[in-house]
Amino acid sequence: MNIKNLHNTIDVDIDLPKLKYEVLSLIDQVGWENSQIALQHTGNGSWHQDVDYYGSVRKEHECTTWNSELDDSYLKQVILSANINVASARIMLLPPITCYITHVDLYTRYHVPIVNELLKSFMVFNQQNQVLSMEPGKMYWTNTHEVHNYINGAYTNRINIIFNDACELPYLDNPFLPMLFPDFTKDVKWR
Amino acid sequence: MKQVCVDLGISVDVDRLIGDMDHILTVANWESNQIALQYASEESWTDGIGKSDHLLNDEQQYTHYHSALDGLYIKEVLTGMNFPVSHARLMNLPPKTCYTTHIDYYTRYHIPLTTRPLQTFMIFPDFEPSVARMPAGSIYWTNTHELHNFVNGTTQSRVHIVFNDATEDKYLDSKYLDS
Repeated sequence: MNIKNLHNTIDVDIDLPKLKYEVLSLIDQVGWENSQIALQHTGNGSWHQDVDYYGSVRKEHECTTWNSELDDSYLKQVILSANINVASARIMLLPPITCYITHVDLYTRYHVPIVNELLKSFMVFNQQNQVLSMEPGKMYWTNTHEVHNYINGAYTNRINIIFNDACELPYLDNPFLPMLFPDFTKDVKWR
Repeated sequence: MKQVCVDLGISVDVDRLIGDMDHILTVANWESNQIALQYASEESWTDGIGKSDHLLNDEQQYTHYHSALDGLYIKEVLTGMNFPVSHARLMNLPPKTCYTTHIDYYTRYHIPLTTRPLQTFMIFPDFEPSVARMPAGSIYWTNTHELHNFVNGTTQSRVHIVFNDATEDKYLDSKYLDS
């Protein structure tokens, strides 16, 4: 796996102040569930149901219905500017001085950082010894089939929008899955 | 080429060190996820714990071993280094946490006790390679004058013994000190 396969910058124009205002307003309005807000759902209409929990998996590629309150929003417009079929779009909170379980995802991810202290907060692909600092207001694709983590080594929250390509199916043959999750089997119990 | 993490090739018996840690935990409690193995003036398990700028003494003055370590393998390892050791501590990093990304005035030596190198590692974001893995069983020197963090991306606590070389001068020239 070479460095080019780990991440790319997507060439889109984003008005960060406008986007940030909408995102922070939405957070104020609906609140977090497991540090996430679901912008798309699987038909339940909820902001909070189609979010991730460690150790359980969703058919994220089927999570494609936009929350109707986002119609005409700039937030949705920005995500759609990726020019892909978007799935499982969420707002993600990583509190100060925390990280995730180092893991692989079943899907690769697109990121739009909203609040992020560049010097102190970054994504790391530890098998490739690579760090990715993501600038707020830019869009990135990240190869989260590789072992990775996100480190918020700042005293402020990190807030990112993330989403998937709905055309991408879950990668269940990832050799790291059984290494990281000893109970993993390909006979997945979808949540 | 500047290095950020060096395996010193000094083998340690991790099981004995963990046994010593378990013994210490019967008489000491974690304070801010640390237990001081050395003190500067008054014997205590908490002397020298906290941010470097807030300590009562310079880190290099924490050179006296807690008397409860007498006869333990952990003290044998520390006193067996080919330099005088200072500011030795047990450092616990809880699951799914890291530190603030920072620099230190002194470089650090690490002895990993409980760690899972695939998911638990040190990061030097300004360097390539950026990631330093420290499998248990050896002693490592880390260049903490450089911007760094430590990630515990597991569901278990990570515990390291961390210490300084007491002869090392304080490093005040880092470009990051102001930020």
